[in-house]
Amino acid sequence: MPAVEGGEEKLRRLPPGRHGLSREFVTRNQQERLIAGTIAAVAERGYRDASIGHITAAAGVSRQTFYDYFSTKEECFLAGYDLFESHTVAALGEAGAEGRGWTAKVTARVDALLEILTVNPDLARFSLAAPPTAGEELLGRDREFVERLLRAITSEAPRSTPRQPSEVELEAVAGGLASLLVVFAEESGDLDRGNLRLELLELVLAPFLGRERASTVARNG
Amino acid sequence: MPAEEHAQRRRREILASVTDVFAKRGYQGATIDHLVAGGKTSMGGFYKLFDGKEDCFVQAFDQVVDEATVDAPRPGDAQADWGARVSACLLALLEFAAAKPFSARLVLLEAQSGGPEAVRRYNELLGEAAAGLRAGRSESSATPDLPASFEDATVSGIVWLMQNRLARGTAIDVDELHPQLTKMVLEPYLGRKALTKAMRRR
Repeated sequence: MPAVEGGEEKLRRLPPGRHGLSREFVTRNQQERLIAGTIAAVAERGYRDASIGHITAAAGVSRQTFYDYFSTKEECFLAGYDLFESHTVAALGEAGAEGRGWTAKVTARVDALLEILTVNPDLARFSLAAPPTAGEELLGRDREFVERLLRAITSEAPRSTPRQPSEVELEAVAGGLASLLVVFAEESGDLDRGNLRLELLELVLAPFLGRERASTVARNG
Repeated sequence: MPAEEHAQRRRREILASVTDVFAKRGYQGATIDHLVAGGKTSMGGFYKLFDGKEDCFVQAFDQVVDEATVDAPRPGDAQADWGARVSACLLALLEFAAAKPFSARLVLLEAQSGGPEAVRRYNELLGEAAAGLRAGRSESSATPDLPASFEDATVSGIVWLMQNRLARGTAIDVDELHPQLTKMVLEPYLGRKALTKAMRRR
């Protein structure tokens, strides 16, 4: 089925960049078209106001196709979340493989994450800004996602770091990370992304290195 | 009892009951019928107090916040220093959420889906908490070079932690959380040594 114009345009905007999504990610089959349509519709209207009609229009498929794959909007949303999460966690793993030393790995992973969110602003809004306003319908999927992101960013921490954060501390850092990523995702005009990147790095490093050392590493690499 | 006082008490009772309805059903899931039944009032009684569901939610939100902050120390309190006040505020917050999980749920989880006014109040509340923390930058002897977003991230972290527990329906363990959170929040301002000393003093 040919894509509707607006839908095709939305889909084309998804892929670019080294850590962007591959073309196959969005066009391989109709199920993924629907997921990409959901991402576009939710990013534009918020979860609650994005209807199945908006989703199918953005995906350029019929309503019947939607129901061939999903029975509810929620199901399609969660499928999109799973796909985005596995893509992102894989990209972070790849980015970390390049870095020498743990702090270099952390820095590379944070940069990879911010690049994904920058080149795919729809995904940033879909995954971070929209869920909190959806109520508990989405089962705290965004919270789970951010906690996995934090684990992916800080994984392989050597035992010799000056501090070993407690579970509670890491949970709170995940909350801080979520709030900074939402600011990043909301793209306000005068947003200083370079500075936000430093603050984010400092936030995730501090529980392991202590505040001062984290600040130095964030600034000097 | 004067009629005015009676009406006020009745309003508070209804707000307490609808708080539980919102917490159990979620803002989106709660209907006017649910709220009327839960509040043990009539449709007419409901609309005398509230313009509708959103207004009812916002009034319930305000009542919970008033209740939760009534005993919290204020910046003007002379007897406590900034660190002790932050610690006491954290304790009050955790104890309130542990004792009244439905009320905490309404404010921390449901408000974000409770319409523009509820979202505005929720953000304002978090902003006030961040401003209270920010005051620590000038109180500390060794003024630390903290990032601009530090307080927002800290407040979001504490809220996040509570949201996780409220959403899962697991208890808020005050004895586990309070010492860890106090240390986590105060250390960047006071430094490790000064904090250890202050905690030992208390």
